[in-house]
Amino acid sequence: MTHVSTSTEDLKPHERYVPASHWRNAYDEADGAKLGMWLFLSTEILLFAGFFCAYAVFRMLYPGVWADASHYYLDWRIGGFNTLVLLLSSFTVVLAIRGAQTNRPAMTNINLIITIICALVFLVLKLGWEYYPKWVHDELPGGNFAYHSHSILEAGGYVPGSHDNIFLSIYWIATGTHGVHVLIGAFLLTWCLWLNMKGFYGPKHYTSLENVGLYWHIVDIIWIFLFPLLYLV
Amino acid sequence: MSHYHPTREEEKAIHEELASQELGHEHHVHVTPYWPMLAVFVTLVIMTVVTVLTAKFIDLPGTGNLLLAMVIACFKGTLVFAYFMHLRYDKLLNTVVVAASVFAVVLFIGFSMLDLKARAAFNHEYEAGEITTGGMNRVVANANEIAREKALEHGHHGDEHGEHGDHADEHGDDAHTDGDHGADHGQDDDH
Amino acid sequence: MSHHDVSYLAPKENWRKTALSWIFTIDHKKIGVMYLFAVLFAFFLGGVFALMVRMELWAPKVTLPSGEVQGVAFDSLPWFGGAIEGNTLYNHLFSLHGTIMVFLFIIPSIPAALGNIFLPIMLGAKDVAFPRLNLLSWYVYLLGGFFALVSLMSFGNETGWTFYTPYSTATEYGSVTAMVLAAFILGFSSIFTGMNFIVTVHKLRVPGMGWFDMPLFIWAIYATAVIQVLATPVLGITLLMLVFERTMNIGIFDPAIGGDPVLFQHFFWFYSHPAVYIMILPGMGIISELISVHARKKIFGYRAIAFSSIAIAAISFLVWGHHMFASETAIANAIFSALTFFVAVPTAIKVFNWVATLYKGSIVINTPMLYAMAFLFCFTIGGLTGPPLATLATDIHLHDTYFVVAHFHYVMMGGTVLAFVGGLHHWWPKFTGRMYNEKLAMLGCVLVFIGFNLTFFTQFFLGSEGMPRRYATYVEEFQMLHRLSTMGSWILGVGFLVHLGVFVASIAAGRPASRNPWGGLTLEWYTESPPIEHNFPHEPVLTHGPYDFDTVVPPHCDPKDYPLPDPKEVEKFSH
Repeated sequence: MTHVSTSTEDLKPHERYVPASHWRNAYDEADGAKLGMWLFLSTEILLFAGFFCAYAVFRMLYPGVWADASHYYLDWRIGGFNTLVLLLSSFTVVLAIRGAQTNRPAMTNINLIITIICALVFLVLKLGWEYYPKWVHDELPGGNFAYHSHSILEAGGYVPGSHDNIFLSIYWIATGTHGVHVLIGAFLLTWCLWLNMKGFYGPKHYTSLENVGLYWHIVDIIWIFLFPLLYLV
Repeated sequence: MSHYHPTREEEKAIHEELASQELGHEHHVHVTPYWPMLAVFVTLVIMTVVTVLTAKFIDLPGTGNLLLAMVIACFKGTLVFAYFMHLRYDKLLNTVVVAASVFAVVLFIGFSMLDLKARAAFNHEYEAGEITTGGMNRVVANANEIAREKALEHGHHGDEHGEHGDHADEHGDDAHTDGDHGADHGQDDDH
Repeated sequence: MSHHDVSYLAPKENWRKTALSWIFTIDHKKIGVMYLFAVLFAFFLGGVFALMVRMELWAPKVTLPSGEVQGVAFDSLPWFGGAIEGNTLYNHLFSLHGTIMVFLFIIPSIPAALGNIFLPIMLGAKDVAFPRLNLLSWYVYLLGGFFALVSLMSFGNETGWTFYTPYSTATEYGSVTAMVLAAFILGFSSIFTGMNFIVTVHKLRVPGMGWFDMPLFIWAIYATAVIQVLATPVLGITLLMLVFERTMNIGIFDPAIGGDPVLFQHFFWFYSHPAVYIMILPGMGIISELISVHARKKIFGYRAIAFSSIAIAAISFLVWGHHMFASETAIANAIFSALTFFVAVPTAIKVFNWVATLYKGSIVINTPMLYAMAFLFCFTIGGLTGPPLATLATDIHLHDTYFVVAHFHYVMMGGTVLAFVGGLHHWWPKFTGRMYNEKLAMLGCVLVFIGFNLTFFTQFFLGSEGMPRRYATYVEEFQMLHRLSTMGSWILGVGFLVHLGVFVASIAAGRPASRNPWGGLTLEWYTESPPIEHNFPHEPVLTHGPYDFDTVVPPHCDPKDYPLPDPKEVEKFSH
């Protein structure tokens, strides 16, 4: 109760923060927001479960084709590098939250900027080095897929099987949906950066930063599963 | 009998008491530690490298590689959930939410695969001629044999088709082999 | 008196401010009321399609106007000078009936309308946990409704509400894509509502209210919300894949290029089976309230009813395969058939407890109570016709017949809709502040009950005699039963029109309602009718359980009208 004497004008926004009127206190509000975020994340997990289920079923139905198609169409080096990029960005988000908890806005700023750069690197690699070449070679999902003889020669003997299109369908919709999540995440992180620059995050209030962080981690976790499934095995 | 309407003073007293209790656990914010998080990050990177190496250089039989990769991915995912996402330091409820959704995913994928795997096997047997259409009870060992029988029967009926003795003959057969009535009838329907 | 102490329905200074106060409201009651109007409109629309479907079945031959199909989309619309085949038109009609009733009416009906209005008040909270998310959910619902209307205007979909592939990916009639997008968007609305309710129940209960001090309606809504959050995303991804399939030909469900149409059925039913519990569980919650309040008796087996809601939610994820007995393999069939029987256990626990509550209660015969009894009758029939469908051998015979249609409607309409209308009458005085005409409403209830049973009981016979569902024509032997069913649908329609008239009359000229017209004990009866903007002038204090009719005189009621039972009698019956 020592800081009661200071007028609220001198305080930063996060120090002046009062919870919405239907909450009993700020702690309940933050806790409730976090629970809401976890519920939302569970819907994300189940949303991606659809892709994983389709993957599992078709891999079971066409096991041989699956492994070969994976090696033929996808480059594990790009996927692997992107995995590392996302892991790094997850770590920097953790540090950004630590910055808010320990009242070091500069730490939060720097780490958020690194995270956003990581998100952009991920997307640029994805678009420029994966989606674009595939688009050019007609390696498109399902019925739009077209075989090109020259790519068979390049493949060192591998003749694309008749169910490559299904593999590519799952690749496109799963990574596409994931990519959209990365893009949304980048926007959310930028929003957090803007709020942090205006001084809205501090030890007593960093709810939205924490929740955006949780969202970013789930995007990372989904990639942790997508990477080996699509690129490696 | 009027406990249902407490006075303002009573309410105020109750609220003050509750408020003082709540203030007690208000400041339980867990500050994210630095070194454990760095350790987790390094572990995650190492495990990524391990995934790539095992997938590229170790050739396990069957779905061994897939399972190994999934075990590693689950380990990595658990680390992110527990440390980066603070579940280890948080209320149990949040972990319950995640556990429930993971459980639902397992059910979803498990049951769908169970059914489609069985049907893939079924289709395979059908294509190999090991079973015929018409229900599970008509599974027979050798479809070719049945096909030959059917062809013979068909020819037999075709020969006798115009003759008057046709019906009498069948009735006679039925009378002799009473138990086969249903089966005979079913096969006739198929023609 | 601050401005928060006035009724939430009170108009602002001028009409512009009043309109804005509704459009941008974050008040759960206003959002709930807007939802209520929308779902009632959807119910009306779906009902009109149902009546048209029944009209078509008046005679064995196709009776709808028929003509040459001149193309697709706009060409085929009667009002654009085209013509559409009678059979196809029939397919459109029942599909629109199903899609609108399921996605726009039943799923949001109780949780989003009545739940939104009463869940926070019953918990003693000022609002739901995330009021702005609540408003977003309402506008997302409107957007979904807009897509559904677009689909409707271009003569809808003809796939049934299940959108089964490969038909839904191949058909060129109507606008399946718009309808699928509508269902996809409506799913988000449902998820947001569910998330909101879970957090509200966990974090915003009034101090002193433990889990077992909550009204059973809240338990039911909570169980519903769990299903909404865990199942709806799978519907989202399924429908998204279907849209991709139609627009980009991705082939996941297309056998021609290696996909698998049965996978769609797994995807779809993983959501849609739990979804039928999203539809029925809130109805069960309402019945627990109605029976206890209008029989003025402590609910029998509180914990059993509460836990059975959670049990139903859990089991709902294990039984989706019983919709696919005709397309699944033997092993999955056997497992799903066995698991399905478990649903009967918690459901029966509830029914027994409701009946036990009525025993020795002082039952007041009014509209909510009549609806509760109609529910018990119809829902029990609906429930008991479930096990024959869960049994593999009988299901293969009854699969895709009118027996399934009758069973589904006995559970959904005889269960959810009757509970919804009953709950609407129960809480009508509270959220509108007006009483309704009891006699006319009871007449409406009787008409609905008779019409409903006439419409659907006949269909059990039709189904077991082999009448398949979704056909515009039938053999002449079925005509008698079909005509009875159609006549029942008219009585049903008249019954609902009576209710509509009662509600309109109540809003126009109903006498003001007291704070607690029924003598209820839950927290919503402590506040004004209609409630003030922040629900309570100050945070309420909980001094008794939600159903303690044996020890507490209901708030704002004359103790003479609510004499407490002899404690010795209570003692005798509570052991």
